[in-house]
This record gives sequence, structure tokens and C-alpha cells, in this order.
Amino acid sequence: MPTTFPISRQGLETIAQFLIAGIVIFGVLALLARRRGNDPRRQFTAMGVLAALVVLCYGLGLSGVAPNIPTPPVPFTARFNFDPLPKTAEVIAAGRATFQANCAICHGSRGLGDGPAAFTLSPRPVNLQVHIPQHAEGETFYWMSEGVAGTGMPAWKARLTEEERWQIIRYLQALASGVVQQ
Amino acid sequence: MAVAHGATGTWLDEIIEFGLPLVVLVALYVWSNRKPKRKEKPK
Repeated sequence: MPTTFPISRQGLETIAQFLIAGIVIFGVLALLARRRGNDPRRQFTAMGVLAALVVLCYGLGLSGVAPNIPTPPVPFTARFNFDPLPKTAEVIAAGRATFQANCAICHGSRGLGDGPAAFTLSPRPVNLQVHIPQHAEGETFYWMSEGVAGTGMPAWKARLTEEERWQIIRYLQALASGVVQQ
Repeated sequence: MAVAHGATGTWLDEIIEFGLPLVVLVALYVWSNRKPKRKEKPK
């Protein structure tokens, strides 16, 4: 299973912005404390702690936490489409053959988004081992069938049968859960 | 390599993104307003 971080890059930036607002607030509090004749040392310490957390948030964001790319829209009913095929070795093997012949050029042979053509695409193909477990089967089936606007993902409904598309989903589920290695 | 995030686009993300800094700010505010303990004079 790939490692995940609980917060996206945008989430870290949002947290950092709140903390920057906190630095300003503590700055004002320190000024008020000084005006009242109190010791503002604790407010300054709080500002320092917040500044360190801001650096940590931006550092984590820049060092490789994935951004939260909005999920392409899916009709509400598509989420309730379930894979009619059983999770058998034959179905997974059939899905693997179709995937390697049609999808691996972009998504990579292990679905990591690192196929030979991936580097020519913007945005890059997604890492399916990460995304498959995070979405309903029906959503994945819809994106595979209809394509994803604004990306290099084409609509496969004209080129692959419905059964082949569901087989690919079974294969990707097996790949993401470690049942098969490739 | 980018580390995948577990963000789900739900209220849980909002709680983390707004709640986490709020907890830090409130904790620091309470701490900074605490009066320092007075040292007891030796009898």
C-alpha cells in the first residue's frame, strides 16, 4: 500500500495561513501587553512557535505531499454501479491483459502513473494504486468509459466492451490491494 | 516522489484544516495568558 499523508498540499497551505494570522494576533497582544506594563515574552514565544509551524507546513507542502486535485464530476447514479464480475483469477488476468495492452502506455505497467507516454501529458496520469481504493467502482467505470475532460484520459466506451472495462477495474483493485504485483 | 494525501473532500478535511490551527492558537493563547507561578518564600 502506498503511504498517505492525512492532509493535502492545499490543506497545509490553509493551515499555514491561519497560523500566519495567529502570528499577527499574538503580535498585537504583545504590543498590548507591553503598553499595559506586562511582560510580553510569552506572546513572543507563541509567535516563534507559530512561525516554526508555518515553516513546517510549507516545508511539508513543498517537499512532496500531493495536491488535492478536484475529483472530475460524476453523475450521482454512476456511484451506485457495481462491478458485476466476480473477483476470480480469470477475471483479474483478463483485466490485466486489457490494461497492459491499452492503459499501461500512460498509467504504467503497475498503474503508478509512470508509463512511457506519461511524461508527455499534462496533467500527468494518476497513480491508480492510490486512487482506485479511494473511489467507488462506478466512479472509476464512468471515468474510464467517458474520459476525463481537460486531461489526456480518453473515453474507452467505444474501444472496450463493458465487460473489459469492469475486468480492468477488478485487476486494478487486485493491484492496489497487493493481491497481484503486476 | 509525491506522497499521496488522504484528503477526502469531506467535512473531515475541514475539521482538520480549521480545527488544527484553532487548537494550536487557543492553546498558545491560554498559555500566554497564564500567570507565572509565584515562588513560595522560604519560612
